[in-house]
Amino acid sequence: MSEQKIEFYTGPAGGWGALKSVAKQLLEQGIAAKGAKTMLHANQPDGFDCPGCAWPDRKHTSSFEFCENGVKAVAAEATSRRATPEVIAAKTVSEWALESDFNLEATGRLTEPMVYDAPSDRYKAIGWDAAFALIAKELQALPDPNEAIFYTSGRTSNEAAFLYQLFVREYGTNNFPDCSNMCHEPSGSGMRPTIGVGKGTVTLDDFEQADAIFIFGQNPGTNHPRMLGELRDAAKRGAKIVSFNPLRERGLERFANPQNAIEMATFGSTAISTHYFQLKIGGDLALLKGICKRVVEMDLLDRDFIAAHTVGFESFLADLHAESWDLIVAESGLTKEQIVQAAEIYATSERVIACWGMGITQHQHSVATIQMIVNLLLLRGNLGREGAGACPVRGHSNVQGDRTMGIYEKPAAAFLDRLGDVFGFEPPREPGYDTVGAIEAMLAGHGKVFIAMGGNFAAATPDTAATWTALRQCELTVHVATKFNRSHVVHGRQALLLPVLGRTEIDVQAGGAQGVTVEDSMSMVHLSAGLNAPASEHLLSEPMLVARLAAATLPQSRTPWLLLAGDYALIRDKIEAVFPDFAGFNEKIKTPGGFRLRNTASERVWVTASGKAEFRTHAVPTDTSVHRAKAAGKQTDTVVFALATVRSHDQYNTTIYGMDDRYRGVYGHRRVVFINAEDLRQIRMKAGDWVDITSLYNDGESRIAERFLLVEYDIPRGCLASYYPETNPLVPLSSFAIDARTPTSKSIPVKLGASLA
Amino acid sequence: MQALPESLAALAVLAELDEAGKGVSLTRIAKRLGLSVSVLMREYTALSDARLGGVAGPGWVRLECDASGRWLAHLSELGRAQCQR
Repeated sequence: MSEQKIEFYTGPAGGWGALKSVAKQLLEQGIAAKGAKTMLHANQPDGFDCPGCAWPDRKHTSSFEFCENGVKAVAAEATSRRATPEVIAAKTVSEWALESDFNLEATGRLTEPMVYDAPSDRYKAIGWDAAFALIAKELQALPDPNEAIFYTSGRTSNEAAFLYQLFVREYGTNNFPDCSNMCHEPSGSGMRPTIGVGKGTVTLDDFEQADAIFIFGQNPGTNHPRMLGELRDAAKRGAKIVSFNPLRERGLERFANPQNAIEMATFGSTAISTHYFQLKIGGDLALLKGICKRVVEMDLLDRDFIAAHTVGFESFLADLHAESWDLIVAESGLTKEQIVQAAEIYATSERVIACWGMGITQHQHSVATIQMIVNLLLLRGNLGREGAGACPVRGHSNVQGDRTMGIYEKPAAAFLDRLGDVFGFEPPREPGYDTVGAIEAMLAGHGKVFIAMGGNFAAATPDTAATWTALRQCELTVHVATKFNRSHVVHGRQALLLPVLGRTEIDVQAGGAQGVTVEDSMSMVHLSAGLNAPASEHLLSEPMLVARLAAATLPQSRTPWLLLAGDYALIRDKIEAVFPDFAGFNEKIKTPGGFRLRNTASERVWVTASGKAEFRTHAVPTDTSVHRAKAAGKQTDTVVFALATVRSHDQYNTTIYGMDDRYRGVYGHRRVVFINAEDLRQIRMKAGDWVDITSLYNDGESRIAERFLLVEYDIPRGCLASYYPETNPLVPLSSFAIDARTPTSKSIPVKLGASLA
Repeated sequence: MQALPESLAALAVLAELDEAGKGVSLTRIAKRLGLSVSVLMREYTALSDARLGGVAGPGWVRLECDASGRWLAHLSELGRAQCQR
């Protein structure tokens, strides 16, 4: 573990710092050589897909193409440590529950199925057949299939996800909470009705041609490091890169490419953002409306595009004219001059890409904000042409693919019809639970069996106290996993841990060595096959695990589960039969780099209710939880902040690889709060003081996250940032994005007080 | 796992280049065979004694990483015997 210190980071993102961190990560996992070699093959056409983020790779990528966080993800999987039943049984589950998330995962790879033994409060080994029999018995005993909940992590491959959704629908429910519900749900909810697709419209080639790239609420240096390569190249050829982020993030400022010998040898780096605007947390909708208003005032519109391809422009125009600059300025936290400057860059750039991350999607008004991004693109025809488009940057490596495969609680009727026709059953039609709905159902006693295909539900979800209560009320919790994590110690009355192969590992089935497919953020579908020997001979692949579970649970099913799982090409044949876009699936993935799924919006074909792209009008929000808490705070002289949860650099989603956040200058700490210097003075505290954070929702519940270190940081006044998942307890289940139900983890009203812990 | 022609070619080249028994870098063999190192590593893992699909490999090859981080393939005694058949 690192020495604890707070130290301003002066280097660029990437560079020698990244390589040093990579080496440290590999050494800590005890796999220096194996990990380094493994990384040489990540994302190669004949290698495997990095299990980290969903940023795509070029077809002819360098053999040294890797990123710091990809190394961490692969090293975590290829670790030499083993969480055998003996290791896990050495402590009671209650004792394990006292360990940090980092220490739980540091036990290494799970090697055998385990079952919770209540009398001893320990996990113990169980055979696969007995494990499947236990699950089948519990599922079959439920009076209603809707009392079972089936969560999916975005790392699950297309083949596993397809079989999983088929099994669950044959079982009889659409209860598919997934990690999309907690991240980019608003992107799909916002774009689908307005441009007809819920996915990004750009490809990597578009980044080569864009004149300007606008980045909203995203920190690629930590969450999508490979994106920095595209941004660096764009910056070098003179494209304008305009970043909007409350925090000053090193990865948006400068980047030294570890693969560039000259930059590395000269300690050089490339400036990334040509313009950096530090808006208020939650101020994006106001900002976007301001940019749109100014673009209209400048009359630099693509009127031919608007006339031919859109509806709703006149009412949008009227709304913009009526909008007050004072409100836009007040709510965005930027000056009118700054907004005008951004608008002028947009309006004078021929081709513009708009990227966004979870800084946009985890607010009450996220869907509206994303629709305002679409409005902005529509004003100048920046959709459906080269070098331009929408780019929601997803997190988990196959989170987009899992949705494509039908992991969705509100499936389209046409998909269900097709699924039923191909497999000869009547799929359930009733919408299922999303993530928030699943937790509420478990709390209410309506969700009794919880099965998680990967992930770390107990750590990823909001309102930690409520979520943990919900999980503990379940009759059975089942976690499919590669490593021991928090969710395994927050379990139901009965609990199973089912270990599976990782993506780096060779997967041999009856039909020979298998590869799986994934879909990246730009709709490219490609094959991934492992290289290394499995961590344990007892591991099942995810498709085989689903097949055996289905075979045990659904003895009357006509689906040849085990046959399909014996040769994933057969699963892909079935995927092709259900989804027309996958025609020729097995042939297409033989091409290095795979193939791109059709994206109608990028062809200017608008699959919307009107048959056109639709402008949507939205008011600047002035009555969010933060607004209400601030208004109440004035009555009691309480200083109220808007807090955004963020990831550290040594972290990927819930997985904590290390205790450092190099680019923000934090070492050895995770319980920190980033705060503006003036705000420190206002609350009469100083950097280094310890505080408790209390969220301020008017729901009668008290939510406190205890003992956080104040760190002075370049962040606007009234705004705070702190790490996820430590601050998840502050977000109530009831606070989510309108029309998407994504937890509002990026705009939490809070107050700070001296720590009492 | 069945030894496929590509695996056997990889084994044959290893036998030819590893006469001294000190191991051969994967990069060198990959160039010789016109394969990417990733494919070669996958092949050699299958020819090692690792258990894949519940079945132990033949143990003809041993993969090792030297102190400089260079991956080497070694022909085991079993592998040498196989090649001499």
